[in-house]
Amino acid sequence: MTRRPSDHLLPFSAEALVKGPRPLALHLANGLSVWREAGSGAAHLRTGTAGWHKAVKDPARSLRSLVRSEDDWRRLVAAVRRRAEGRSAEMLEGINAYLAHPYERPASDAITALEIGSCRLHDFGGAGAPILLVPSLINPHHVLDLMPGRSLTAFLKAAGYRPFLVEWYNPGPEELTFGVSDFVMQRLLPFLDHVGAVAGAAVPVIGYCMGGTLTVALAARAADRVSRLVLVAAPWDFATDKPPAGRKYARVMAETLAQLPDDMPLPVDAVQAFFTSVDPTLSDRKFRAFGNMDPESEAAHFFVALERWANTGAPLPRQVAEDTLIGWYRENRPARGAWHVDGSPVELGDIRCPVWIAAPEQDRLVPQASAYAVAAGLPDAVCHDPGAGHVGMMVGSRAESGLWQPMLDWLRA
Amino acid sequence: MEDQEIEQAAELFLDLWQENFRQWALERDLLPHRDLAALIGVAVGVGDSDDPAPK
Repeated sequence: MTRRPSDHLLPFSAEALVKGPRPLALHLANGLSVWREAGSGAAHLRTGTAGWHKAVKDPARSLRSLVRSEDDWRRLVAAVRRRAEGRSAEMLEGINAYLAHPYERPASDAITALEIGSCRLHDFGGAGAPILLVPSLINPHHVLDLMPGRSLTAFLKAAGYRPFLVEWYNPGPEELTFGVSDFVMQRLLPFLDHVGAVAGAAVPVIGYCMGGTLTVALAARAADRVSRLVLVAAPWDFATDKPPAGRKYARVMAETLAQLPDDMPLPVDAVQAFFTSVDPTLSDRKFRAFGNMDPESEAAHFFVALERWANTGAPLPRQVAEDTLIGWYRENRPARGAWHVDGSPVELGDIRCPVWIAAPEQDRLVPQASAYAVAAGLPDAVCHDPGAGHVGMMVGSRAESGLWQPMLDWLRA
Repeated sequence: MEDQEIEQAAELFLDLWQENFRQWALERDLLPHRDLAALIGVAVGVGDSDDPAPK
């Protein structure tokens, strides 16, 4: 039976209530299985270091050399088991504390300037020069306005700009039928035109992550309406020596898509499972650390704000999933000049404005080389390393010095 | 070994034990739970290879 897009709406709205970490079962399985087997791992270390990565083999051997007697090994294994159980409990307590935390995201000062379908353009007001901000399609827009002190939009407004922020992560019935090209032409372009009408001129555009890649197409299709283009960790070349995480699983993901019912979008937990695979030990470490934080501290509030943002997602429209997982990850269409938007390939030579490319070396989701690759077709582009991770560079403690201020300096230059 | 040394060694082991799997994830870019479980199996002596995760 072919399902209509609207059939998918009810369960998706329920998904939005999940605070994460999601998929919860996967996070628990990863974290707890490591600790559950630690005692057996300690006992096995006595016989050798099979299964130990080369980066930790020598320290493991050194530890083994310290344990000499039968009784020492017995006591060590017992201590490892007891302490591993303690770490498991700490992880669960950290998750419970996170789920129970009373933090609520502050209400935004922005008003809705334009609404098309389920997508909105938020206007942060002020008398400054209009600037358009485009986040990823996958997570909510408010990573660019997360909380006081951790908001690129607030920073830009204080610097004399009037930010307009695109919200488009939660597709409605119409967007569920969209491919990437539709999002660019039927959502991004009208939003750009609105901001341009407010400005009375071409405007600067900032694109983050996948949103950045889409703004490349926007700047190519509306070259006369974009005055400057900022690309932040925007993947472009999916075949670099260190490709964007996930390329090797693109075939598996494509096969998964083929198994889904007609027009069913990619479930949000499938997208989240992908992120979990980047580091299956991360949830344990961060939730144990959170459990030891003062819940009233700014650090704890920041943790909850960021975690809820990361765990708030929506299904990816089927055609967008195919365009990206197959067209980008597997076939590398953007860098090959074979990515079609509005019926023809996106040519970097069509972009006429100055371009600034920010991409950190330590980004594990979008390798620097993938993001910098777009500069090969933009001879005057400027590249910048913000010196933090994929999300940390945008909202972390070094965001202002590493990304926001250098971006502002370039915009003003 | 003194009791305190045993406790310190246990803590060190746990840190190394977890770091081991983080390092595998770094090297492989992605480490789905199936691969994590396979690596744990080898490290506790029930796997059949020193390096079971897919390339």
